[in-house]
Amino acid sequence: MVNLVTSDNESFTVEKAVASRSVLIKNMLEDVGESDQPIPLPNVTASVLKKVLEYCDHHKNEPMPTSEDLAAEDTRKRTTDIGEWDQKFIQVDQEMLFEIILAANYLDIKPLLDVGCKTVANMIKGKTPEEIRKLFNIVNDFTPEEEAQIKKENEWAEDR
Amino acid sequence: MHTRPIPSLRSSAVFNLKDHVGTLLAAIQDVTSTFSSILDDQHYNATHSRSFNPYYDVHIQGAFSRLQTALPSIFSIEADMRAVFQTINDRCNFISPINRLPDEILLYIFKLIPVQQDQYRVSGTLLASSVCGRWRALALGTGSLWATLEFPTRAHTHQIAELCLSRSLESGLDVYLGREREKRCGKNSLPDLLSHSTALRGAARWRNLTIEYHDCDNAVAVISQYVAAMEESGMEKTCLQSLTVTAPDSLSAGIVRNQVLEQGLHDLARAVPLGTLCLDGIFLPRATPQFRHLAHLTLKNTPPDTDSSISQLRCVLTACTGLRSLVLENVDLRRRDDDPRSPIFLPDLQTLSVTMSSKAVHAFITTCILAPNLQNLRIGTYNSDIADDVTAQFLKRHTSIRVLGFTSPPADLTLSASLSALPHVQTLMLGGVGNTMSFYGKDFLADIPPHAFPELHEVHIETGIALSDVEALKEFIISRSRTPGTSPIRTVSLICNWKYVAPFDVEVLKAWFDERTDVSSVHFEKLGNGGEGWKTALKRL
Repeated sequence: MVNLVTSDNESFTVEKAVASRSVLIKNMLEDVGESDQPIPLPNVTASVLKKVLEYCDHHKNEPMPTSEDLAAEDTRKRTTDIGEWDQKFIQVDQEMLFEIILAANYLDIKPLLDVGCKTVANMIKGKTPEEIRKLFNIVNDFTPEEEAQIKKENEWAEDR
Repeated sequence: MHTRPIPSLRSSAVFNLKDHVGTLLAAIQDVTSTFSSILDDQHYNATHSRSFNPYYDVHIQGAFSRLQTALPSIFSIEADMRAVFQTINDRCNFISPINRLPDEILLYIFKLIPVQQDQYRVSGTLLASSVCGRWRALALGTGSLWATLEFPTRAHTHQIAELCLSRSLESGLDVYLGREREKRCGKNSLPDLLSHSTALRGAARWRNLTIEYHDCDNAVAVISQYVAAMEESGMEKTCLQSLTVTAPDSLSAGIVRNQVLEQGLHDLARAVPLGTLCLDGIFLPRATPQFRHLAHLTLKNTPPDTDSSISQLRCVLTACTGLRSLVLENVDLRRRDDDPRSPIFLPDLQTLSVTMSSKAVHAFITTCILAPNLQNLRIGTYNSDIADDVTAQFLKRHTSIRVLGFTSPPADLTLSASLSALPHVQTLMLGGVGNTMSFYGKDFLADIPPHAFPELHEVHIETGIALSDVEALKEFIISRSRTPGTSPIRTVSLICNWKYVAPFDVEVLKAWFDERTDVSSVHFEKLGNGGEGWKTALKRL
């Protein structure tokens, strides 16, 4: 078992197979060897780590992506398909969604990072810039000149 | 009454506050504007009208009076609220949860934005670059997001291509020439030469070239201009890695052999050290010394021809000394009596797929190819005619295989017996690649020796499975779990053909898998009539 301590000082004891879905933790465990020392995760809060561990536990039996898999991903056509369980798992509020993405990036859990990023990409799909701003609470901060250029580009792209 | 925001929603609380302040501001503006109109109207009516007027209601007048007194305070509140609104608004892009993501993750999301069939491939990037200053700066500073040139027949194709060419900075370009996009738009025109000249200006940065042609002259023109441009600027500068040429519907259209196109392709293949070559509906290429650089070769729908035979394929493969993956699909070549039978050594070959091709091609590959590092093998034709001693011998020579696929079940027990020689197979794939009917694999599954594939833990049935196959699959899973020294099947995916498996049987099968604790992942997909296809992950433990 592995003991993980979050930034808000909460402790999680999990199976090694679950914790090792994180390449960061896996490498730490390999470096440290057998040890009862808790692993501090200063960039992850308890509520986020709980979700991340739920994902890791569900996928613990799956093979880890190899470096070849990751390299092949760049050349393959990208897909935004998300598995059914993953879709349900990632149905969280926006703040939690982005916290999960940040945690997956920090903990180096590429499949979880993919699920998060694909979810955001799917949220953007088919929307207008104004709808995207509204969705993510972003303010239009373009200058009038930029606005004019963007309008022109979008007209070119939409023209059939 | 108020509720305290939970920590994970603090940003949302700020945005809500901003929205409420915005609503308050709008309301104040509505109040002052309406009141101003009323005062104007009151002044007009006082001099022009004597009819009934609600303004003279004593209570209303009292309200007006109090409002008039309160106006300076309201204006003061409005000014304060405007400042509050502006301050929060200015900070929105900083506190927005999505903008807490670092640049590299945002860029990754931009790359993943799905694009519809009738849109430009860079539409997702264009959309992202239209949202806010940070997103635009990121998008414009990342050449790879724009590194796609395509030329559908549209009013502003040229402008979009120019935009992509300039914004792609120094990135390698993926160039799509042909009618693919026009077909999606229901048009058939060819890209014009002006567009080609735009593409050719970036020739030194072409990385992947895809030509889907129905006009050979156009395809040849592009290829020859590219070769000429690169020869002029020094061939060593080329970064073209991949060439895909597709002749749409060539087989059904009865394609006429085009010597000029073949010469153009040959010139290109001879001049450029391609890493990937995919020819669909094109005659076999002539081998060049540059083929030693090829890592991936795909030949699809190669038309039958009196001039090309197995010996020409042999020449190509002999030249491909560094090949890592070879896909032959529907390659219809014949053997001639004088074709040599000596082995071809492909030490780096990891993936081999020979499907739907002529018997002569199957026999040639299984007889002559030696690939000591082969890991993925998919083999078969629509008809069960691959099972023979030669294939069995091939399997025995390639014990490194980890993923084994049969598009149709072997009929020959000799082959089943040879499966014991493959100790490292972890994944079994049955059906697929052109086999759209049913796998009919019950005999095959039953004939797999009990101790074969000790590491096998995944079975994927990629063609509609029949009910008899379902039973055979269940038996197979049970027998694997009971055989000492073999891994249990943990992952199963299968397509149920509606023609052969009724919904009731699917439910029974689901219930059966539900009770299996050893199978942790099951995916079903429906094939055939009966409405929209469905795909579901039954369970993941």
